[in-house]
Amino acid sequence: MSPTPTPPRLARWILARLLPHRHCEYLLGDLEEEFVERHGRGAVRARTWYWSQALTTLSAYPRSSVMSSLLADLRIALRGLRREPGFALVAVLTLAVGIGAVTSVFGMAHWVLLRPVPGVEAPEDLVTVEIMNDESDDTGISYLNLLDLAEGTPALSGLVGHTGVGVQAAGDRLAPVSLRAQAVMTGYFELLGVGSHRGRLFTDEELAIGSAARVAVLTHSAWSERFGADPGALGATLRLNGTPFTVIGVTPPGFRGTERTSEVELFVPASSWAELSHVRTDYDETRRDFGFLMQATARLAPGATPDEAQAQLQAMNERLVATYPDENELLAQYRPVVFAGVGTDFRERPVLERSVRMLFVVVSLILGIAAANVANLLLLRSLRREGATAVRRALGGSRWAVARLHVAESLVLAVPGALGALGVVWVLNRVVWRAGMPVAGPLPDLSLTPATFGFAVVGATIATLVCGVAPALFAGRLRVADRLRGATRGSTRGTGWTRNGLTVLQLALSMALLVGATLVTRTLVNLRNVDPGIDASNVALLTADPGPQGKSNEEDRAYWAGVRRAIEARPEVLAVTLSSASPFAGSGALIRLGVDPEAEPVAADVRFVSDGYFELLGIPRIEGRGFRRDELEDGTAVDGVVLNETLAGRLFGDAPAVGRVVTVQGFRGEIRPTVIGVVADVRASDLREEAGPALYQPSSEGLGSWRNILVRGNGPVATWLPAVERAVAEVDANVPVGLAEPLTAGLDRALLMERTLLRLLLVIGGLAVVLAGVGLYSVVAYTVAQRTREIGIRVALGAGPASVARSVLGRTLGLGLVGAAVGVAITVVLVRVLGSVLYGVGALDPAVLVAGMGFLVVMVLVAGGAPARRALRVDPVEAMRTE
Amino acid sequence: MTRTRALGEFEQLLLFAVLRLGEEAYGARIRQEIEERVGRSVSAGAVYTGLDRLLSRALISAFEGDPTAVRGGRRKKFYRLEPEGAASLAESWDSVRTMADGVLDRMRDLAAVERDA
Repeated sequence: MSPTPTPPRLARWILARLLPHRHCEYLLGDLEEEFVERHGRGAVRARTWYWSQALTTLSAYPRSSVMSSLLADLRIALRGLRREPGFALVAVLTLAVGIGAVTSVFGMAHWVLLRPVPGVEAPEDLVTVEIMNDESDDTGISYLNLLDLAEGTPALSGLVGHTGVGVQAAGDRLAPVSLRAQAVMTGYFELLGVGSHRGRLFTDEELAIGSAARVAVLTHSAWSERFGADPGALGATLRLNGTPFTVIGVTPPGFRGTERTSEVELFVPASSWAELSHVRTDYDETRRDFGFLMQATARLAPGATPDEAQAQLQAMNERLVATYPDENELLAQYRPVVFAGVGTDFRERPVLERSVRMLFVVVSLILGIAAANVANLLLLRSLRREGATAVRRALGGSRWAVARLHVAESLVLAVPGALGALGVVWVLNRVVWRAGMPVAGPLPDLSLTPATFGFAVVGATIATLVCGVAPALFAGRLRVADRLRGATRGSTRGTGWTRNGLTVLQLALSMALLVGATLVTRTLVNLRNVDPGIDASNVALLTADPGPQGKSNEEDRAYWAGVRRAIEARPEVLAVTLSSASPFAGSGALIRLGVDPEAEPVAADVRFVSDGYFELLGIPRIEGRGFRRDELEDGTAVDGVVLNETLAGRLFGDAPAVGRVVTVQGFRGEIRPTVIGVVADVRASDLREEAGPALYQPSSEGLGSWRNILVRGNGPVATWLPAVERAVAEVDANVPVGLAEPLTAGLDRALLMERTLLRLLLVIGGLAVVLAGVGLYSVVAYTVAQRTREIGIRVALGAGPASVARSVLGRTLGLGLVGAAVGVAITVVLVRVLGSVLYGVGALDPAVLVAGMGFLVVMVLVAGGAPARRALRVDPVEAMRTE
Repeated sequence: MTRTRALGEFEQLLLFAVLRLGEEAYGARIRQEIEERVGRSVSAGAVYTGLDRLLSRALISAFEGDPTAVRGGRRKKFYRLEPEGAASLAESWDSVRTMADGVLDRMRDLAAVERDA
């Protein structure tokens, strides 16, 4: 005989849980009976019928009994919390701060580390290929070599080179403006899976090597912002660095190239790069030795790993070097290296990792404090409510009913807590993040989405539940009978350790946060005090680039002469000088030079500077002289270079350098200039590191223009900069002014991460400290309330106010000291984790630690003060009547 | 003499079903009776809540039956029409019949228009 079919278990379980008691058995029996009947006529139909019956049956009981229990619990929870508004407020605030901080910081960390490049298909399969040597310099590669590399690497389904190009665009509807452009190889858009939004993208012929096509594709944001999303822009002609290009299409919204930190606005064929960059006419992209493509992006073939790709690329690279030894002479010193993902400069990674590490540290601290605070609050509350709970249990309420009440309470706290969390996220956005992160480029969209809110509510509920359950586990067993009789003591056995432990934890973490803030402040101060080696007061930096206009050498010289004249004509200007790079920035160009042909060449940062550079910036001269105006202006290339101290030391040791000849492997072969001076070191904007070797050369024709103008004025920069900027812009209408800012702005930008961290620590730390103080207050107040009887007896026996205060405060102080000790331990760990973020401070810096502990003691006294005062006012007679 | 509260349409169907089923008037049978005769799908929950309301007005009474295996070991709840309930039902029925008196043909003609449209 076949077994009786059973109805769908899940539906039956749901009904059993939700149906009111009085109908449950009969209704379920009915449904089962009928199910068996119907099952004979068709199993599937029977199951469907059962489910539909289950759902319609439930809806026939609107709110009445199914939901009533949950609603009743919520109502009771609300009532209970309304009676204790202080507790509710603090709990909600704590949740808000904790959840809000975590949400915000995780959002930021996710963006900093993991944000995929938007608008591309399957970004997880994309990799970046860098051509690097052992010193982690990277170099460009030629079109032909890349094509061959791509062919020889089956682990990559595609490999495309591209490179940035400085473009100044002008058109009928567009005033001259600098645009960020990328010159791309065949297959660029296909590899990334980017289609066209308007118009079309490049054809393979247009991007092929040697192509003469002068067509351009705009990104959607460029099309919106620069051209007002005008459809007429398609087909229009743009003059890019003087060459006419036709706009053929627009990419979809969101796509902005493969760089995380800069937004590409315009794409052009790789074969137009040479023309746009106005390089010497004997070089173009069809040559194998023209390594102009600085970036390469690739997609892994299905199942391939980055390591496989790298091995194949390197093997292919060696074959290329062997096959074309002359053209690939430079390439022989480099190897392709594959990095997973796109968009992050491998040099940037350490900075990013540092930022993220610091974020996680701060988040952990905040979370710890918030959790401890909430747990303590809930524990105290459940202790206070023991009477009510005892009554409930005595009246037959099950543990489950009491637990349900806890859940309801958690929900009632969690929803406003989540709302508050969103508020905290908003505040953090404005106050901490918007001021800037160490990574340039558009900030993540930190606005509040339904997903964020949902996460906040869920997080808050879980947090409250966990914090409520944990102390309950540690709490002593509730002796119902005792409680009903009114004994206020004894039934709290076992919770003392938990309460004190939680309080100590909060105090310790608060102290760690504050110490952290102090350390970062000291770091900032130390960094600011580092002498960068130049006097940046009242100095402004402007940038202008006539290069893309394709001027001849005479035109270029005339332009710069005009710029200097225009600036010097202004009355507030004391001095002007030109340079190829900002004094604080690495120039990005390295050069190898040596004295002895046998010895290892030294790599040095090279920059071109005009006359008066060292004087204007206050860089002390150690030997010899700087460059002279007359030498530079009449166009004779000056056969002289200036070294910085470090470089001179490396090359010549203690011996004088002036007059010596050095061999420099320059951009076109070797030159052998004479040293004419040595100057003091200048630190790069990352002031933590000592200056490296640097070489100063006077401008050499055709190697690119000055680009950077340094001006020292009479008085604060803000008073005279706008006028100077206008003067420069008027020299040539086609050449826009890029930057115009005080030189110190660069320094401030460098310290951005530290400043952001400090702001974060202060805001969150301040809130956390307040919360910890309130938490401490509740604990002490509760203890005092518990000990009312004891205090009353002592007063009756003649104890003076001092003695009473001492006993109350004594215990509080004890907590504080233990908290301080634990805090010191946590601080040591904190400092180890913060590691390279700090500068010039150590964990065991006694001043900081003492200050931290002192603050803690003060906080403890303040928090314990009010309850202590209340203890003093205890009427002994009243107290003894309390039982 | 009229009763205090009139019966709703569904309540009338329930009472008629209980009357029809006699000894077999329990939840599942009542539901099936209405579903098959009237052609309207009815949920078990609606039946039980409706019967509850009738119980609370003492128009029907209930008693328990034995558990059976086919019901997974659960008991049945039988319902019986009380005199009060029969009187209410009769009254409802008479009210409708009075109103329908003489106009049934017109009603069917009008309904036919709707059906044939």
